[in-house]
Amino acid sequence: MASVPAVRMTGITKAYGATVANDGVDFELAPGEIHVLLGENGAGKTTLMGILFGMVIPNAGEVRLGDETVSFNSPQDALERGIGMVHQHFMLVQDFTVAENVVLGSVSPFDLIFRRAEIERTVADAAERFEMDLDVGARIRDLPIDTQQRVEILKLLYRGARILILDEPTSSLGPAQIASLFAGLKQLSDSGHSVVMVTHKLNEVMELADRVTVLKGGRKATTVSKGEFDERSLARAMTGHDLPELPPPVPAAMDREPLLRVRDLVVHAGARLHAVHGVSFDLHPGEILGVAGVEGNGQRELLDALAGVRGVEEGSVEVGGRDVTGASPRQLRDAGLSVIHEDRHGWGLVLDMTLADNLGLADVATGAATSRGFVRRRRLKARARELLQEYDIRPANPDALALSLSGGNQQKVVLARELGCDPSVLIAANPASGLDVGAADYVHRRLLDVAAQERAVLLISHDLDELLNLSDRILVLHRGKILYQAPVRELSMDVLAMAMAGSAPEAA
Amino acid sequence: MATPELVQPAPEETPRGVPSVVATVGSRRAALLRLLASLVATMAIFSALIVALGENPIDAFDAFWSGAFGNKFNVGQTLMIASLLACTGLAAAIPFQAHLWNVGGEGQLWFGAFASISLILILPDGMEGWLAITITVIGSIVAGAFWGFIPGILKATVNANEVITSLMLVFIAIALGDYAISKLFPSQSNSTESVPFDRLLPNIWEGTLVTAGALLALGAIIVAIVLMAGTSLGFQIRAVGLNSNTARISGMRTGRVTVAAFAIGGAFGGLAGAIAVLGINSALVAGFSANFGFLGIAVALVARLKPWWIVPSALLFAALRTGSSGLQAQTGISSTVGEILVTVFVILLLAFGVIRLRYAEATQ
Amino acid sequence: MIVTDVFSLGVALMIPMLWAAYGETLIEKAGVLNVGIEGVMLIGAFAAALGVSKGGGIYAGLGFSIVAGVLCGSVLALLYVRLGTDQIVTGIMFNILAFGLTTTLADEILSATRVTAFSQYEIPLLSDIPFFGEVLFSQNVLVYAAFLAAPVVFYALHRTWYGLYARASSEYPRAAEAAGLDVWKLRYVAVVAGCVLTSVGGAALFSSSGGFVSGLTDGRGFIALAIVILARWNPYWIVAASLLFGVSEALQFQADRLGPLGDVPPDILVMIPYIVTILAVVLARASRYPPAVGLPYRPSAKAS
Repeated sequence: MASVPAVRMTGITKAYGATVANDGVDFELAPGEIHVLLGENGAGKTTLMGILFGMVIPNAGEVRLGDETVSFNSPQDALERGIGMVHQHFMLVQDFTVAENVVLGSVSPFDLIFRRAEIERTVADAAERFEMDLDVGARIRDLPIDTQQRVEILKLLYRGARILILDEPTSSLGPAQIASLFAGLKQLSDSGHSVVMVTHKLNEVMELADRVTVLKGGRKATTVSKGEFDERSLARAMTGHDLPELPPPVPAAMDREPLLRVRDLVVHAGARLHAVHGVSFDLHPGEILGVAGVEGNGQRELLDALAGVRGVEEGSVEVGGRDVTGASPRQLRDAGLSVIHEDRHGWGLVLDMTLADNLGLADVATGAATSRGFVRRRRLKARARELLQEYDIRPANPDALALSLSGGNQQKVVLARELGCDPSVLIAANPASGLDVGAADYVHRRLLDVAAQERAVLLISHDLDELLNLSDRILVLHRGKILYQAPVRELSMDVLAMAMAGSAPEAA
Repeated sequence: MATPELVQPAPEETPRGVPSVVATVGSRRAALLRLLASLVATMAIFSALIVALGENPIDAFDAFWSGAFGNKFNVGQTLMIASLLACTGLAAAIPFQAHLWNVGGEGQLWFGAFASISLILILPDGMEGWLAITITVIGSIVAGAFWGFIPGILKATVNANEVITSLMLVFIAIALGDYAISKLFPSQSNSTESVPFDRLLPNIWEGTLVTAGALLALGAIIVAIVLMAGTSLGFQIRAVGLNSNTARISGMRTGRVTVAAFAIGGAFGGLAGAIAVLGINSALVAGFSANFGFLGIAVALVARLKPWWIVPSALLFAALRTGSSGLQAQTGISSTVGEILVTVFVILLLAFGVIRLRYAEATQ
Repeated sequence: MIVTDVFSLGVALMIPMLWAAYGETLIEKAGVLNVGIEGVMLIGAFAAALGVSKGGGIYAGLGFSIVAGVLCGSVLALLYVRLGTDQIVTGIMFNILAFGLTTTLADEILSATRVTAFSQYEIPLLSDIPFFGEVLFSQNVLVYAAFLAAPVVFYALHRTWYGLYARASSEYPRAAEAAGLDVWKLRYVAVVAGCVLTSVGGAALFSSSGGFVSGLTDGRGFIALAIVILARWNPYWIVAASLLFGVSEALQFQADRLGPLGDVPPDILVMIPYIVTILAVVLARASRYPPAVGLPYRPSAKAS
């Protein structure tokens, strides 16, 4: 009973200079199935799907849709053939409304007149047809992340896409939203749409997949169907070995003076949803406090405020007993605070500078590496060599440019610099995002080390597994407020999931 | 246009995502070939223009060459123009390293010249020549720094677009210069009174008009090299230019660095004004600048923002300028044709990717 | 009456900047920053002078301007969009190039241009209204067209599919591309159309100046850049802002009738529009460019 596959990609090869992203990869998608594309960060999944969606042009290989061989030169080509992609970072214009985003590109620009009322009605009808609850006149920037994702999906369905590709769709969602998304995907599959879901998270595969294709190092490792796999075998296929087990965290000293004390913090943001509306917590020596929450509920603003790059409207922040409310990054560093920002390219590194310069940024800023206005280059380099050694960064060349390093090594550079200041409080936001398993493991171990040395760590993350593995306590942020907090040992997953979705637990 | 600010902005209001300004040139050999292609194309376009104007291209090139290097005197002229362009080149290059467009070099040049002529003429008669010169040069540098400081501080505090403010200051400075010529120190219809002989920068090369102004320019280059390569401020300027977010979160005061970079750029522009008044024209002459301030931007880019490379770059552009004067002398074609030549060359360099500025993408 | 004269002159003087501002709005709302606006305006003025000197009268001049606008727009679109050169630097170089070209060619090609301007048409009845009659309804055809153009530009940007797509390209071009749009094509159209409008502004300048001289534009193009930010890309506010600058320019011509202002030397009066521009930019602090303006864009497939 062989039916023609909806999509068949054979021998796909794509290289970017010396890096081979896809090496002779085969991939097949059957009509109406949910096919998970699994692999570590950097395994080549997004590149492969980029080729299917017309955003990347392969060096070799063939793509067939049904019986026909096709060759896409732009997303327009793919969309015309009924293939749509939801990217990890949504392709939505924040200032436009839902309706405007959905119809973007659906009509020729020479069609002249854009009748707003008519368009909104059409989109509202479509939303109803696909059983999505959307306010088509709302601006994207005012909508929560999972609603934005629904708009992305509606956009594709509106254009008649029968094949949907979702790239890491759960990376910023909470358990409730993920469940809702999966239910929606199953519905789509039932009604004949074919779905490819790209992910690196094993548990999602188990729940959703009809079939799984595992990519490793740019090559296809295996393709297996439901019933033929379990988490362990997939992990082996993905990484070549079993997943590392983290050592248990050292218990925190909850009775000592908190190293970080935040009281009634209010931070404003561009979109109301994202602001922080009165957050209070303490961070004790040896403690790792996890901040959970669906992306877009104030975590980024909290991070920026604590890092000193965003203004604090109300409330107070104390580090080591010192009031640092509204302090500049320099003052915060002096007080003993270091930050590992979630955006390592945007806020962690200066990609075009050397490793020595990157490692020495804070030292030059505070004057520790300068003397009478001149930079002490030799000292900068010597310190860099020390750090490169200690953190096993490769290549261990102080003159190498930061952009030449792999993601894992880049993150180690950031770690080295921030930990090298010997902070008493470390704020880490999504520190392992985009890293392969080995690099992520290294980062996690380092964070545990920091806590073991009686320093404090505030871990802000979208990755629940990361939070559960590392934290002593977890608090849940929703629309800028803390809805739930509990020590990990006493945590109720259900309550956690509900809090992330916005339902505050009954007062104890 | 990345906007570091003194007032804490919310990071997402920083407009341009993550900019990374690197005037890179890809692989050496490919770049060289493209450079040659630009040169050839420029000459071709230029020849076409010459023909359209009714002259023989060969004669034109000949006139050009002799105008720039034909004899000792002309070489001297080229050197002096190069001195001006080196300073305006630095005026653009330093802020550019902080990813700030100082497009107001022309204004800093004029304001520096205005300060020069004003100071040198009003300093008491009894003062020693060398003292008057020193005071005036320093005054011009400060004046230029001030003219650069204005767009810098406006940007850092209220996020006023620095391109527009700098450009407006250009016109204001030129108007001030014209005011000096027509009302403050009137003499002829297109120039102020002359600078007294003992207050001119001394000649350093017999048989030419090369003065100590050239040495001042050289000194400026050295100062710039030391600044960018060795000082903490230079380091911070580069860091802020390459990634102002990371610089900021590492503790650098990006607002102050912005202002400092603009002021330093302006200072170099002001120096150029002093060189023009005290070392070339001996007065403030109307229209003395053939867009030297703006061309400084081109000089800086061709030099890939490196102070040392500004020397050959400035010489190249200066030669194109003096060459076109030679052309005018011989054929009567307006010397602004030199500006056509220069800008076509730079645009081709940009078009062929010899000069490339890299940006990360805009995110919202 | 002094005020009437000042405003009447102001309205006449604002027109070149108004056209240029419309043009720049179209261009920036597609994601491109045209600092070369000054050069385009200058070339437009030169082209108008060329048309007139060939004996065609002022409408021939206007025609030449429009053609010049298309040519400039095509060259700039090639540089800014397809080749992705740095927009600010390219724009500045283009301005110098335009200056050099027009100055050099003006000597050679333009015969002593007869003073030719667009003739004034007084709108019957309306022109009899005190103050407004003289100020608004006794102007020439380019002036009337400029006012009528405001709703047209607004409509183009906010009520057409092209406008929606172009604005998406100025906000988040990658998303536009993912939705199937051709960002480059949208930007080509915007740049060419915008340069045509700017060039027409140059023609208006030539007409109101009575002749072409080297460097005629004298910063008006740059002032138009400020007008666009000040008005937050809204064509109606652009009219208001342009009027502000037109009047500030008119002041220097009417200074002798304005008491103390008449004692200020003309060289200083000339500075008024530029100072007003700086103040305006400082006060417009909340204005933020659309995120992608000024950044070259490489479509994914072409980049890979």
